[in-house]
Amino acid sequence: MTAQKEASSPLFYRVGSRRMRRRAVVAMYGGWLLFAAIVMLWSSTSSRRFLAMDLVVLASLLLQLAWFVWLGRTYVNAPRLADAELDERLVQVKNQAYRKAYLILAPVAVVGWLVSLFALEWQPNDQGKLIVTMLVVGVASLAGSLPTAIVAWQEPDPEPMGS
Amino acid sequence: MLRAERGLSRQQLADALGINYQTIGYLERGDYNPSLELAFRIAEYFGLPLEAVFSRQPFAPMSSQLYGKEESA
Repeated sequence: MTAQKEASSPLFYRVGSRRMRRRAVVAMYGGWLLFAAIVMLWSSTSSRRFLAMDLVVLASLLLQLAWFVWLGRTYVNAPRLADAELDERLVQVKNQAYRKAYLILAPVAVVGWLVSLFALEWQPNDQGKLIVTMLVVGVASLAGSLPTAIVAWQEPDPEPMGS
Repeated sequence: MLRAERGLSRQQLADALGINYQTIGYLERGDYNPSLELAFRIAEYFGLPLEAVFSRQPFAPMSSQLYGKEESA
């Protein structure tokens, strides 16, 4: 596995620590929320709202890409690997992560859907469309990243391989 | 500690068993209960019966096993 090769580097133990992974999770979601808030504020005073929508989608994709690359290099990202590449414990970790992700995502998706309906009802203009776009992209990003975030949050610090 | 007795690193044992090296640590700490299939593989690898490798109760320290028996004999 890639993570096992990476583990031979001392850097692995630093960047792969649970503390660093948790910081990355907070930075990822916090960064996205901050960016979304800035775009919302900017779009309310600007006429270039469709550019704002594009920026939200682009920023979300770039953030997730960077995040996955970094996390994939620091620990075994079980949710992103096929069962055949994992041992039985990691398959359990993966399945538990997807189960927890579903429990978190299901209510978030329902609330997001309801807020989208109300947003289009209250603001049947570009601002309303922007809110809906933000919610759809946000929920989609959450769906794609939550299992990885859960594993990154929960897995303990890696142990030395050679001991 | 069977692994330590045999002078094996976590990585060496993990490679031999075809599992992730972190899983060895989980097994040793008792944080993960292996499937029967993996338990048998581990026992076969060490050439020991299953009950010599795994137990539902914590194993007694080797010193008490060795010297405790000698004293009572």
